Amino acid sequence: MSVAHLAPASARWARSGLALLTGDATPALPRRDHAGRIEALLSAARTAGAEVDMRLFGERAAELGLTRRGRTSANGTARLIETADGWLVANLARIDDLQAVPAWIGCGLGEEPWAALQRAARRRAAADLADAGQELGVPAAVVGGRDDAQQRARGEGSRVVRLAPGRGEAVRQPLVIDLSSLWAGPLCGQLLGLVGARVVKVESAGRPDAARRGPRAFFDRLHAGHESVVLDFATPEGRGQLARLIARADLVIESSRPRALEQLGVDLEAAFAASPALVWVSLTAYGRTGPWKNRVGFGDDAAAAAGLVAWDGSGRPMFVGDALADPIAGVMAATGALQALATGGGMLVDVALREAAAFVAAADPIAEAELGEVVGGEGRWRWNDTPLAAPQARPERRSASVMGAHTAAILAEFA
Amino acid sequence: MNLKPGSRWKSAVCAAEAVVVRPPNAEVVLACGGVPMLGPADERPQGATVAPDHAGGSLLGKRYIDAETGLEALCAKAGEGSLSVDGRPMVVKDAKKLPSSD
Repeated sequence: MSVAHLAPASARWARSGLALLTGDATPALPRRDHAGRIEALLSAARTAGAEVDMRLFGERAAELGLTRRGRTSANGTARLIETADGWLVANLARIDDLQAVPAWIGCGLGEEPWAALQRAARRRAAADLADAGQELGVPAAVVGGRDDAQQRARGEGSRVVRLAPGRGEAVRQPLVIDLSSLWAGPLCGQLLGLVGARVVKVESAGRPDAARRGPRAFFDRLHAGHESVVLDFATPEGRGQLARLIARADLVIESSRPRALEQLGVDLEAAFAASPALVWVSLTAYGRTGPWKNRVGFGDDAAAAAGLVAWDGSGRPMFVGDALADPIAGVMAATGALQALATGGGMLVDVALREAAAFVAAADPIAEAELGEVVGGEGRWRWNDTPLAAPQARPERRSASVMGAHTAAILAEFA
Repeated sequence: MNLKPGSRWKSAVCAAEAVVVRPPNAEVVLACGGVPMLGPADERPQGATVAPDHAGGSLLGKRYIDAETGLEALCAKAGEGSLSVDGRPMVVKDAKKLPSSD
């Protein structure tokens, strides 16, 4: 059977590059048309003026050589764990997360954290475990959580909020100050840079973007052509320089928890009061309002929290794609940013990774008849018959700027 | 004081609360505002106040460490008192290093 003979939803999935990143030994076909939702996102981004395509979603896996690992995320740091009443996702990506496990679940200090967590989880409710983990700053969540305090607080309202009057005309060739790190925020910055924004990446001297320690090619693609500024956020002088750069920006991208921004002295209301046409793009795990505004999350756990997982024939979840909430949120953020710039600014674009992934998770079910054609036993894709596209990266020949190369020039120009 | 991982302590003199993340390698007293911290069920004494040299404050969500014994505690509620171990001020641990790929 070739792709041409597959019905549309499964054919879309086969072509997406995500099919090979989903499942365990055998690729799994999610039961919903997630690729259709992703195509809808791309279409909206193009309408807003962005240059995007399906490669964005699998290009990190292509670059890093990652592949599907079932209930372990493609990058190896997150796992899906069965609890007494459902599934938990935990992402022990940092040393501090691994070291927090004894305090989180009460196991011994020498125990292997994942084994201890799996054992403890069988006796506990998923939501209780997630709450306790988050109190310690560990990225943990209920898989496909419904009707939790954050969803009730955030509701279904628009995530683009007018905070200042804006100006009567579009903001052209905007100055973008990008304070974000890792994938989602930098992807938003890159997409804005591709269509004419001047992007200045600003990093803290004490805590530069951790993606610099990852594969060079991936960092280069997201930052090629951007200027690089390093400030010492630990000093009043550095925080003052940051404040002056923000005051000159047309658009700010940040992926910090609101509490961390406050501790840096960054005040959103003051920024909009000083710059009525400002656009502020915030990327957080669960949104910058509500009781979970300071919860932590990364691309794999936020996607699973949204229910963007593939359920196998025995009712067990597997990860879908690689940190998929990151590129989904990055594309949504860029779309919101371009729309806000086109209408004169004065807007906050409040993108939550979980909510972004939830849009893709909530795709229409794939029709039973169509599933029957392509799914064998246990919910597994009959991939031997079906060519599945490999994830691909967009080509980029340029390098990112040397870290801090533009600090003096940018401070002289703007601060 | 049994400062085992996950144990919760409240300040005797302000609103601060701390959760032990890593235990100390010796018997120590964890204090806030210069006064030993209390278990969750203990009554706060009347009239105790933050000592002036332990009034730097505790910030919500920050991890504090004592290099000498390895004790690490997370501030679960902010307060005016600062944390100390046998009289030594605890220091804020550097922000958690992000993974290179998340």
